[in-house]
Amino acid sequence: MSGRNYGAQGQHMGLFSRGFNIDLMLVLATFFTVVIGILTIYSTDTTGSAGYVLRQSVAACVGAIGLLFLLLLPYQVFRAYVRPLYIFMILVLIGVLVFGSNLRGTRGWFHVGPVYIQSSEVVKITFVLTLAGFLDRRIQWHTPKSLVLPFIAAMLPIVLIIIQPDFSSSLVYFPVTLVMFYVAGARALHLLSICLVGGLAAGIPLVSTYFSLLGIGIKKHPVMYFFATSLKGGWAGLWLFLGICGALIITWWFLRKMRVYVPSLYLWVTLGLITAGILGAVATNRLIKVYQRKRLVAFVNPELDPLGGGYNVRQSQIAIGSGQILGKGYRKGTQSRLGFLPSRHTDFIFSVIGEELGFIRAMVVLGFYFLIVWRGFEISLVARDRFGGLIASGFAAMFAFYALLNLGMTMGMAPVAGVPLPMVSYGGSSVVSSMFAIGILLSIHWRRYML
Amino acid sequence: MWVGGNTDTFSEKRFRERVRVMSVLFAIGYSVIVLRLFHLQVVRGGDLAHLSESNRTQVIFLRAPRGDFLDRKGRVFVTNQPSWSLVYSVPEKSATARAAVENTLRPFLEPFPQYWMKRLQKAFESKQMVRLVENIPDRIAFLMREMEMLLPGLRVVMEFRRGYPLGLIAPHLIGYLGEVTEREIKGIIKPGDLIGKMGIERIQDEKLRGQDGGMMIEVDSVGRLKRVIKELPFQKGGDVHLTLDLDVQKAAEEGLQATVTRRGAAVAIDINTGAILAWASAPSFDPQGSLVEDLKDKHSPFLDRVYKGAYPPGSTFKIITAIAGFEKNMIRTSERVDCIGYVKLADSRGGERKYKCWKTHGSVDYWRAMAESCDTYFYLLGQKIGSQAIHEAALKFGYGQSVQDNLPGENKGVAPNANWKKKMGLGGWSTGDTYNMSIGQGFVTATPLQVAVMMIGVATHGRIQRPFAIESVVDVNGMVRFRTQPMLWRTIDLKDTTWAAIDRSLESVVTQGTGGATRIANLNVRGKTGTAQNPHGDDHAWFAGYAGYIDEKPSVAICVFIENGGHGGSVAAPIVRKMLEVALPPRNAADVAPIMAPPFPPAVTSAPAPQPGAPR
Repeated sequence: MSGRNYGAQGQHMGLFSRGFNIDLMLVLATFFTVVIGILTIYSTDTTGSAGYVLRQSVAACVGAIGLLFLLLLPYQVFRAYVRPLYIFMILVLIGVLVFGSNLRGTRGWFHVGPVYIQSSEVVKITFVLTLAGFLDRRIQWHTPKSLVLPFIAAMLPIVLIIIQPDFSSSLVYFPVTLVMFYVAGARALHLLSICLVGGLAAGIPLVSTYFSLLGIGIKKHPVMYFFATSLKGGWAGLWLFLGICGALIITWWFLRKMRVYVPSLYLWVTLGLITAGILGAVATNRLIKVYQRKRLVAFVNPELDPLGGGYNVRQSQIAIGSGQILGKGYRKGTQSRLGFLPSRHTDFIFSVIGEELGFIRAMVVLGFYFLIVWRGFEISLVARDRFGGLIASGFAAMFAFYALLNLGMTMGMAPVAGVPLPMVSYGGSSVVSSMFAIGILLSIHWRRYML
Repeated sequence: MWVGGNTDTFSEKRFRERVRVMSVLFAIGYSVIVLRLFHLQVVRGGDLAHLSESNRTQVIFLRAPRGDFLDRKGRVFVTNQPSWSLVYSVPEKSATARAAVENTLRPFLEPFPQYWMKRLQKAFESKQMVRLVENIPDRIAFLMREMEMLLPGLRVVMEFRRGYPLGLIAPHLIGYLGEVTEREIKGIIKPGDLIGKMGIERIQDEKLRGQDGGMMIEVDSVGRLKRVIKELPFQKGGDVHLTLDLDVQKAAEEGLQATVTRRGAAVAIDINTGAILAWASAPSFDPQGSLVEDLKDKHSPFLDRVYKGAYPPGSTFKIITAIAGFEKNMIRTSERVDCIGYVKLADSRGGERKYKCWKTHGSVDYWRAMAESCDTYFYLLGQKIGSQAIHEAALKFGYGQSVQDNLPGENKGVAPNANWKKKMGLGGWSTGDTYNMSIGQGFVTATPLQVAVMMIGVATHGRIQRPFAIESVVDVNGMVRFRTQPMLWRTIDLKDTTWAAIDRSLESVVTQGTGGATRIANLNVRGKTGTAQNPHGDDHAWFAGYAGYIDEKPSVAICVFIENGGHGGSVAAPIVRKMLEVALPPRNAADVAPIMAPPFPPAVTSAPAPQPGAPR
């Protein structure tokens, strides 16, 4: 990196010593984001009880204390304790399944005194730290085998979260995992095939939902009907699967007879992919709830289910659009205050910002958010070691995907996945863990020159 | 340069490259988000702002009450009364399945006709607000109010419906209201509105309809009222002042109800202006009830027999035959004809046919022939003057023509001649046809209105005012939006001697002849009975005439027709009498005092009811 010196420049132990080494931009962006979040939550509160605002503010304070602590804590400590940390995380996720409380249909909450703590939010931090620790040690990526162990290690907590079942929260883990593998140097081809299998696994139940939403019309077409029913699993699915595999084997054998030699590896990889995909599909089919699948389909084709999944997105788009350039004014959004906007203080909080503050101010909010992600990637570049770099890029990717998914959702460009906008959306656990992540980022930045 | 942990240079280089790739990918994704925000808020902002506005505001129409109907004395007999209706519109959010809605409602709507289910289906198909049941009693309305919570989209609304404080009066003339059909929607008429489907409700619909008001309210996402943004009061429609006299009308309707068949028509018209005093048709229908049942009635209660039903006018038509005779100078009033009960006529096949008179009158002159309605006299008179002359006289009085050319569905009746018969493909005109025509039988048909109009012509010596029922329509501000100017419809030029002779002979019908039932002490009543044979059943009873106070010009023309009712003199004439008694009430006590003569002449009262060849 030209213009910048990554070499050791000396030690800057004090917070405010020489050159003011704290990443001020990230601090300010975080501060404003949290404040804007609290103000917007206040705006969505039409009852005047201010309960949400209070709880969010308390969470922000807790988050700030944690941020300060993590800033002062040398992040390298975590590398020494990657394994205990990982075991702790798994225990937390299993523990929540056993001792956790049910909230909004998900057994993913610890009830501690007066507060509920969302396990998937706590795990967010440890997930990035432990995965960074695993990947830090791995430099050789020549065989798929080198990919497998850390990949399984990464999948375990994700699966545990899906079991809760909290599909929405697990969503962001996939891209974070992929990004961290990618920057750690894994072969793009391997990652691509992982994507392919994942896509197949997620895609098949979606296609079957799509067909089921199409409804009666499909029964008139026997072939389509066969596909639609077989996608739901069962015997028809098995026949379809065997049929496809058989066709592949026969084609390969036939080509061989024709003296066209295709390496058998390709055949096995293809068959493996299909098998994995189908198995994944059956698993996903069981774990993703019907309404969630419908929402994903509604994103692809909102006309299919206008009163269901499509409604939220439409109201959200109306809210944002009706804000126009200057907005309707703080606490004057009709879409949000009259209840047209769903989950207005959580997942759709940006719609309130768009409606009440207008394009210009919403752009400022987007700017702060961009700053957070951009600083995250920059910090991963200036980190003094591979471990810090991986952590920073993991957190940056996390914030990036939260932002893209959430903002895209409110504007009708991404499915309604139930993903919050970290530090803006209401949710204590989310605010605290996000600020923890910021604290670790700041720590990595602060310690960039330290030996 | 990584200084701690793993410090592989190659790995570090790749790490930096890939982080950079990721941040570039993120920047690209983020700029798409920014562009989308720009697109939504700046490009489509206006449209979406409009959508959010229509999200939050809802317009509630306040249906304006329709105008009232008043009679000539200012008595209100059609007005509005509040009533509950059950409406359903499929809610935008979370629609309940149709079967579920239907099953929930069924136990409550048991007492109502089944077609609310069809309407419910329509609501689901068209996604529009549909009235399920109208006019529901308070008890069920309150139950339904509670159902509103369970079934979003269901609403109990208060609407103004027609009320008839004095009972159902002249439903054929007034008409009824119905929900607007898709074809009728235009202008200010919205789906679900009630519009006039028949009668004056239909003809004057636009003026009767008020201006609907509205409330623009702010609602939340589940439709709860937050506040009223603006309110526009409704304006009641214009009142229709009719020329009807409710007393005469009631006499007519009660008279028709009291007959054997309860079918017929009665009309009374003010001779000087053409104003209709009574307009009744039976059987009748209930505009508030289920019209579906009425539609199935084989006696067609919706048929306004006053002007839509054409029947053989019978002996009332002898007036036309006589007029034709006088005009051709072919009647010498003293000339006598010997009535032996029938006239024989050779038919085309060489045989003979008897044309019967209703009794054997013996030797009759013109006066007695008219008073006692001798068919023989008129057979021979008709033969003498020819069918064409009778046809022409009939045309002069409006037979075979439209009297109310602004009313749809009017029956013009038939005033036949040889050409007409040929055109209809019924063959050549025969003397027998002339015989039948001269006593108002055969091909001749007329509506009760036409017969009444003929009487106006006779009473006024040929100055017929066009009949009308609407005097004016006055809106809430007192502005006259419509007024009927009495209009001369036609004049008929006849010799004075003809008028005098007809007048005198019609007087003798009442004083000495078949129309004795209409004799009233203080009035000069003239008229003609009719008992028309018809191929569909018993004879039709007719009485047509006019009356005025003694020593004054006649002022009221009346026609009463009873379908298959029997004798004109004994069935129709008493109704005319009752109508006249209220139309022209005694002016002072002296007039009331003695009713001298018995109203029914012996010849008529003693006549047994169903008898072939009864008085015509």
